[in-house]
Amino acid sequence: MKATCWMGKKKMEVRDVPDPQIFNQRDCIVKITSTAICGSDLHLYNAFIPFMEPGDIMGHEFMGEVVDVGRNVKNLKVGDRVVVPFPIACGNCNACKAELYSCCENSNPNRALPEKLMGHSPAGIFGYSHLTGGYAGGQAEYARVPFADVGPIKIPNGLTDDQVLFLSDILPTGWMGADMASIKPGDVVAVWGCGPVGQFAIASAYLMGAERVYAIDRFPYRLQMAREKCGAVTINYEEVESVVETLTELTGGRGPDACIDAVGLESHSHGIGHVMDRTKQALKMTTDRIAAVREAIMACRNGGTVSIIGVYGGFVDKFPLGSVMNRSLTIRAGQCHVQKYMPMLLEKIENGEIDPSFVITHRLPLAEAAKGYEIFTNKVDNCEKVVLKV
Amino acid sequence: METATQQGDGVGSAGGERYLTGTDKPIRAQGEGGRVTGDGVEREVDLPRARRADKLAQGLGWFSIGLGTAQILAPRAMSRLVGVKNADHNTGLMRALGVREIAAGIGLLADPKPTGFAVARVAGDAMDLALLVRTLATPENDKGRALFATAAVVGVGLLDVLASEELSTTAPKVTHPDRSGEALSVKRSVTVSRPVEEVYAFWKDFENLPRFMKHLDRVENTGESTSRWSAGAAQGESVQWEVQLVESQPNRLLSWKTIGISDITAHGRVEFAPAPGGRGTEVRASLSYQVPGGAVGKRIAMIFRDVPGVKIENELNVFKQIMETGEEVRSDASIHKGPHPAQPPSDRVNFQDQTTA
Repeated sequence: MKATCWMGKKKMEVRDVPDPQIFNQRDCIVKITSTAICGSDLHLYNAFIPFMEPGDIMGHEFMGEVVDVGRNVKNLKVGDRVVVPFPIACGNCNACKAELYSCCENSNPNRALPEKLMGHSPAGIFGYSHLTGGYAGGQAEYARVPFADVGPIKIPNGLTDDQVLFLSDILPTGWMGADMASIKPGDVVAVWGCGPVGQFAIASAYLMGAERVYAIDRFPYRLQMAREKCGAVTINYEEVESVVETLTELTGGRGPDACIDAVGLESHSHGIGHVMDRTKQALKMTTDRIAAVREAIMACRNGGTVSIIGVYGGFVDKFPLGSVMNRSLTIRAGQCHVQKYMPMLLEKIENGEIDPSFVITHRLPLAEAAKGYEIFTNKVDNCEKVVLKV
Repeated sequence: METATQQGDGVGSAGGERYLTGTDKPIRAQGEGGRVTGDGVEREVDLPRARRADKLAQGLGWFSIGLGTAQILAPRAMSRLVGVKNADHNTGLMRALGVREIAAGIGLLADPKPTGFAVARVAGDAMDLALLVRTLATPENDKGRALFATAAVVGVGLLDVLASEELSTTAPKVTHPDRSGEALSVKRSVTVSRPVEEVYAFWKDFENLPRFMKHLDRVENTGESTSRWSAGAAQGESVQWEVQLVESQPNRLLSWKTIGISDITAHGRVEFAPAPGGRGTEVRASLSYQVPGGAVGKRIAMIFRDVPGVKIENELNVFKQIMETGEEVRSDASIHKGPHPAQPPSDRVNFQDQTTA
């Protein structure tokens, strides 16, 4: 089959690789129809996440048709159309029983690696380095899906791929960002990053009753999307002196009730702080740049919540812990527990409450995946989201 | 397991003292001479000579730091000292040379095996000589001072060459620590989200153990409380040992040890306890294997540490996977030996059907 392989920093190749097989009796094989490039794939593309091997198959947002099932998969049959959640979760361990699917205790066979780096291991993830299991990803013609009796969700006919594909990651991730912020009617929310996850976080915050959502980015086309499609009030951080002061002013001196970071470890800011962060990252003195998290913490009102859904990999620098402690902030974070949110969000798509397809700006054939990465990482041609059609 | 241990009668013990070492420091610190192991090869090391090399390296290290400090703090005075007339133009270069000197000095003093830094000093001397030749070629410079400086660099250079020679010939290379004759022991704990009765019952039937103890080929119950364990088929070895159940307290404890004449000595102990909050069973396991010394022992040890430090430790996680999900969880990369891209294998993988769930 054809698959998008990571061959080194900024080097993706669509190559011929062996077809996937059933390894475990709870596996299924999916023939992929649509798959997307995620903003977090760009962290791998730009080689900020360690433990990649040349040849690794990329991709953790995918959907398609079931073409083979293991003996112990009773809920799916060949021909079913499914969307696959990006965290691999067994459904049996204590984490899964508590609906913390992205912390599954059984799905990462390489758990010794993250245990050294993070203390304990998160779940396995498709196509997301050997730190999260070394699973082949879904930017390919076929993928093996472990725990097929727990993860994949059946899609009723009548819904298009574009409408449901993002159930795999970015829609529930944006939703969880808002969910962790415990938004109540009347709340004011600020969202850092107007990539697809940020857009969905804004939309979700409104669905949960937020009265106003501020959106922060530097790309005018992304801010425009946040305004027009999601109803956000936008702040271009390159045009204001200080995001924190601007938000303080806009909220009558209080600060937002909830701040959501949808940026992640390649965070960008302006000024000397960014130069220092970038230099330290290049020298491997720090793995992650956290400009957005710093701002989110400083901006948040006393007693408010900072919700982190941007991806971070390791250790950070100048983390304003004093602000968190002295001002009674709550920090919540996590890779999305997709399996928990999928059925509810599918229902919202079915009854027309959300149509996530508005973020798609580019559709390319799988063969042009490398070009898709280039377009997405360089924000060419107002790129917001690249979907690969197989 | 990496720490230095002394063996009573290890591999080919030739009498006298033997040291298994992680670095060569302890060898130099103790004893008057003798045999050094570390890379699996025993060699005579002339300890007095090794100590002389160390002393010389230390002297050169302090010299480097002193010279470098002067070059950084007083670049003009140093330039004039070596005969450069227009000292103001060369402060940057002189300071850079100072940084180089200090780096080499720190290396010589701090590194237990500073051979590389001694070689770096030789290279630095060559660079200094080249600069002095240029100084001599410029007419306005003070020829007398430059010639004096050149002589000094040549002198120190000879000492540097001597030091790097002596260090490289007396430093034992420690690349593959000799592991034979060691005890391998592992302690791990894991919480299994199943009732303690079920977890205990699975473990108590030792014939189940090879399903998660991947270093075992087979366990066969031979009596009420005895079993025969075997390992090594994948490595072309055949090692067998008899095991006696020592203690079994239902739902609390199992322990076992080898009996009779065995290739290895093994002990195992597993404690079971209900996890608080109804979260299943806490399992605490400690396993130890004592393998014999010699070439045979070395091969046997490989069975237990194919991937050093990881293999046995990971087995308790596989135990958890089997108890909770019904089978060992596999990823595209994990089914291969060693690092492998996350791609399906090119051959059809035929896993033995280990599923009972």
